[in-house]
Amino acid sequence: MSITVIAIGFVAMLFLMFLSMPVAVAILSVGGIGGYLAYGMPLVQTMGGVVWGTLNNPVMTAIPLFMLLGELLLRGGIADKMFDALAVWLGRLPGGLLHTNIGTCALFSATSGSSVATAATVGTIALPALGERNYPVRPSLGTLAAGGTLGILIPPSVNLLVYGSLANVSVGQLFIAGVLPGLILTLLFMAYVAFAYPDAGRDGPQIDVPAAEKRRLLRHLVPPAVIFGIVMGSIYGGLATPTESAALGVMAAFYFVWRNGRLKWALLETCFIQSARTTGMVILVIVCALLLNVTLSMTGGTQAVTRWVTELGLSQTMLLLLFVLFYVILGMFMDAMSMLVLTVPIAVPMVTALGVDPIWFGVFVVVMCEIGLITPPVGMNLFVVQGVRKGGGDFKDVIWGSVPFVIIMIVFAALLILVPGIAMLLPDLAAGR
Amino acid sequence: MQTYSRICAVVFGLMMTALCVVISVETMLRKIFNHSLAGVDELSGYAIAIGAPLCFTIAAIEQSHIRINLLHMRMPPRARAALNLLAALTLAALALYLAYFTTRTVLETRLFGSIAQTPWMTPLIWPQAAWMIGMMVFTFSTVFLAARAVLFAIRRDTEGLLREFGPDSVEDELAAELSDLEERA
Repeated sequence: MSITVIAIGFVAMLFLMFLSMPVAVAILSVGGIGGYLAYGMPLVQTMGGVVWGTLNNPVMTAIPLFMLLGELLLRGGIADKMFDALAVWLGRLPGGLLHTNIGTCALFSATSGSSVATAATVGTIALPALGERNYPVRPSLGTLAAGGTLGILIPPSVNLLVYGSLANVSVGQLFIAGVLPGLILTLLFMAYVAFAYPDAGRDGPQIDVPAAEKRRLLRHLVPPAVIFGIVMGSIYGGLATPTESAALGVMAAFYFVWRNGRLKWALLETCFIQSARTTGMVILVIVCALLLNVTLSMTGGTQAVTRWVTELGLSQTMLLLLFVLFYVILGMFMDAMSMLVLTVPIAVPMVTALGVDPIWFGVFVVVMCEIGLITPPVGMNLFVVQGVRKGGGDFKDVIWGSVPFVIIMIVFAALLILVPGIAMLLPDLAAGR
Repeated sequence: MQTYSRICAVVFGLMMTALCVVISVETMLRKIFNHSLAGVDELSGYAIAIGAPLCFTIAAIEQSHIRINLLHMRMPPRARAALNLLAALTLAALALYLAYFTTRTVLETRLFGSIAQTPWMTPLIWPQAAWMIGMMVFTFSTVFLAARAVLFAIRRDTEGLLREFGPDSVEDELAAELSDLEERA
């Protein structure tokens, strides 16, 4: 198979996707028809076995379990109180409650897994509080939109799980690799806020919270901290696989929801429906992308891509910088999950041919997906934050408020390219390297 | 259809909850008491293989399978309705395609009497038969939805096609989250 055929297939997929066909259909049409044209029915007939092999896989089970975990934390009201707790602890920093926006969104989205739920919950609490205290509008909105992107990198992350399934790399290692970059990016956002808006909120009414109350509010951070500790601790310590850690997390979440007095059948039913819905949406595209992978590898497509990229004579850094450009543009028009399934099967063989570690690349791609969440015209978080504004207002405020964070993320991606250790340090340490 | 989707979700949710209990017990036993209940991995693989088609069904009924609506939302209503019809038909075609290969795989398993290469040595026909039933549920649902979309098209009911078959928008999802938030408060 030549690189031209692959390019035609890629464009055909993009065309079907932009025609608003289900993404799974777009991928499978190209994979199925491509396989049939190349090898006829024998290749197509192997696909049933691939579907069974893809689904009958304990790693795939981690997806609904993490979804269920997020739903329980969100709808059980465990995540709702985080803003209050962080507000009293971070509000004193230069930049005030803007840090609380970033911190709460990072924590909340890491546990809930849904950008929409994060922005809806945090935005509803934060925006009135920020308005009352005269915080400038654009950074208030920008910190919410950008903070909400952090959760897809900070584990447990469904995006990393999807990348792991598509690229066939260890999800445990990906999760460990995501921790440090997620933390550094959060700190970079906060450093920007502290430098750019040192006096934000200072001219508004100041609320003094007694030290005892501050300590009391800390208890709201205990459940998310415990769950993060269980999930990541068990993976990092080699005690459990991602699926097992997700199951332990779900059990802990059940306990916290029960202790909150919210363990009711109606809540469970909502959690089941929501997690099943998103699981169905994610797993169907994974199954179709893996079927496309079969066509790609059987027809020599993977080798063609690798050969092509080697013949181009690009350096590793140059190729990755081109990927930054490619993903930033693609992210303007596409959601994170579609970007992953469309590009990972082709991009991973390309970069590994030039010696890039696929675990590192997973972190890099997810940072690129994060940028896509806040770049117009299709930056989902921008719309969500705009939707949460009670009094309405100009959509441009959200866009301009997010621009500095897009720049920070692009700079961070460049930093990740120059210092790959940011992502690889923890996986290397965990593996005793 | 909503009740049907709810039943699928509850079956799936209870299955996942039971699985969490089993996995947690196994992990604890293994790590604390050094005793392993062999086969939990295998069980969780079967659970997702059987559960995933139920999830596909729920996502289809709720119109949640990922669609990119960048151009769609900028088109005139009739073009949007036509694309919604095409999306429903192609999703049904995808389900039929997967159902065909699922059936072939299960028939092959029966023919060869395949057994899982695991300590349990499970005859694969059992989990695969359940998987096939799940796939049939998915196929039946998408074909039903596609037929409904065709019916709307025959009646020239653009409004119906837009209302019931449009891609799930961020605005809809946000509205649902905000109302859930109010209930929580």
